Amino acid sequence: MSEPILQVENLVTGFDTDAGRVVAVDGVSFTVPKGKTLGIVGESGCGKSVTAFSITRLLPQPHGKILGGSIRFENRDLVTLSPEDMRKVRGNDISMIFQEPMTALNPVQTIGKQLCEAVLLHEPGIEPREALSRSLDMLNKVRIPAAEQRLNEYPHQLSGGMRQRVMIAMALINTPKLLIADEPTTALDVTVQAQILELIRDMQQDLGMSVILITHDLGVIAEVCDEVIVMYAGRIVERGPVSEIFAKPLHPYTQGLIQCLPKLDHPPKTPLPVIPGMVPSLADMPKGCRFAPRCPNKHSDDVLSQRQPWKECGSGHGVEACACFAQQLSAS
Amino acid sequence: MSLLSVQNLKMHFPVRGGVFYTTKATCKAVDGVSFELQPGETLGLVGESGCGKSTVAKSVVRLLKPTAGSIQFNGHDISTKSQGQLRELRRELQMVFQDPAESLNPRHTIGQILEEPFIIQKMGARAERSEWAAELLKRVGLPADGVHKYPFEFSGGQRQRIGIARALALKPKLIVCDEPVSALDVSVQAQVLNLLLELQRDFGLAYLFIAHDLSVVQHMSDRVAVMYLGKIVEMAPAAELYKNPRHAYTKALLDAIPIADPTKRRERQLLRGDVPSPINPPAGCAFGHRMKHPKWEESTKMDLRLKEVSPGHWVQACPCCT
Repeated sequence: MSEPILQVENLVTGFDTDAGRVVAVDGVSFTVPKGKTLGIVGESGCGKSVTAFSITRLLPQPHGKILGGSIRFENRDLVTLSPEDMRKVRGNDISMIFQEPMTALNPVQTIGKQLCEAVLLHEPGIEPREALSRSLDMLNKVRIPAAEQRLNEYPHQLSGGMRQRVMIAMALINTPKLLIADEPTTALDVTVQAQILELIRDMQQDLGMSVILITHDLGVIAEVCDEVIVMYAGRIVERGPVSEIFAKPLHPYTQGLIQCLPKLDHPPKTPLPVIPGMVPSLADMPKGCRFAPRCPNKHSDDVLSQRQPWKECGSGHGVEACACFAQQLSAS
Repeated sequence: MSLLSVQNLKMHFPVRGGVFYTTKATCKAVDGVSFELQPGETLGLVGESGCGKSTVAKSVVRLLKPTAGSIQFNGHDISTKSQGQLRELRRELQMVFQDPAESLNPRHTIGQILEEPFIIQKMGARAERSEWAAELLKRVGLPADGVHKYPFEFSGGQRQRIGIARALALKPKLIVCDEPVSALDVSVQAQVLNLLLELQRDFGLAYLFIAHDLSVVQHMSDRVAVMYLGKIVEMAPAAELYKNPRHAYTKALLDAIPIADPTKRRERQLLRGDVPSPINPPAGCAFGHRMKHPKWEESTKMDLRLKEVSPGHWVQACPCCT
């Protein structure tokens, strides 16, 4: 495996609420290889976005806090970086694109001004004219038609797909080493989604950057990612190369997630396999296997009370080996 | 006889502006849509945002009064009925909305929400109504003591079940489902889809099922209609449409679905550009116009009504897209 660009070690992120502290991300470790795309998949509340916001240190203040662990990016620990230093990393070495481009763009500034701001902030000495011409280049690169005219337009004058392109242009204008895309296509139509995914893939190849793609859509994961992390209720339950995860899912949650999607070759109007129940509340998490209350396998009470061990199964495929299926793992 | 028969439905909205708030243009959200729905059948309606699918849904339950065209439900023309007459018809014609958080009154208990249809229709005594509400909750897989709770105490999937229970209250024949699962997580989505299928089987319901997720629509529907810029461009039995799409837009739409199988990664024919605005749409075939097809000119001089190419498979016969 190539050298990692980002190493997250035992990350714990929590929020202080009126009802006490809730831990949204509980001991998450992973690495992002250079030039590859890592997908993080999971349902709402599983901690995938909080993981991303922890990396960029954009957690809502003052409630959100990184409580433990380290995030190593190029021999620096982002957790302990001062806010000033972090600001230099963010938007320069690590960029982020968000789900809803309309709320992420400033509605009262032109596209051109917002793009230039990203350049000027990170290269204070640069001529404004140079920043503008770089912005124009970038808009052309993300294939926005009539780019010159767009520079003087406001976000509301653009369609959803165009706005997301502008977001991507803004994120890539300083050629970051890592791009974090948090549900970049969820608000878009399928046809536009396909365009945006292709754009992210092409830009990645051109710039040789690494990408973390966060989504709830397994289809998107299968289309663009090299490696996948499956998260459930604040923890990673399974990790592996994308082909392995889809061909041989080991964790019952991953299996359930893949099965419950309606597929075009599934007989229509027949019941879909389901994962019964719902995600437990963050304030009321089992200590052990968090999926146990919904798990179809038989399990003992120990599973609920004790943290289950992580097991590597070869070729980068690892799983939280809950006692309910761990024996099958060693047998195979 | 068809349960629902929509003929040449048009829904145009004036676009106003300027100093005197005069009509500047017309937004042709739905522009000549026709389809029929049989009792117990599901018709899926797919298309990108802005294609008019939700406007069709709202016209069918007369939350909007159509500009032109007729909507026959059970032999009554909905498009011309007064509000009083509609109230009676709506017993058999209900709707499930996309966002369960916003379609349930946050200040009402679930009991009040589920009893409201009976109160509006002046059905049952108070004791009877609360009994019915509890039964409805059980029917959609929620505990009956939920009637005393408020919507915020339920998760998204449970709220959608409550929305379905409310639509079910008056034992309707047709439920219009406008993106019923798009706000839900995948594992919960499957639960709600299964519930809808089960209820259809048990009560013989017909669904007008609107969604942007083509795999969901294919799973739920007997027939599927594809809309583009206010018009249906193709309509066929579900299996036939997915196996044998004829219109270029249907093909493009199917090709864009991400497939949850990394072994099936493929090079795509990507659509360029966005859906054009329904304000002042182009003449002729709108999709041919977007694709800048050389034969688009021809389509402007043609009658673009749907033609039946094989039994039950209807396509807009324009030279550019078929």
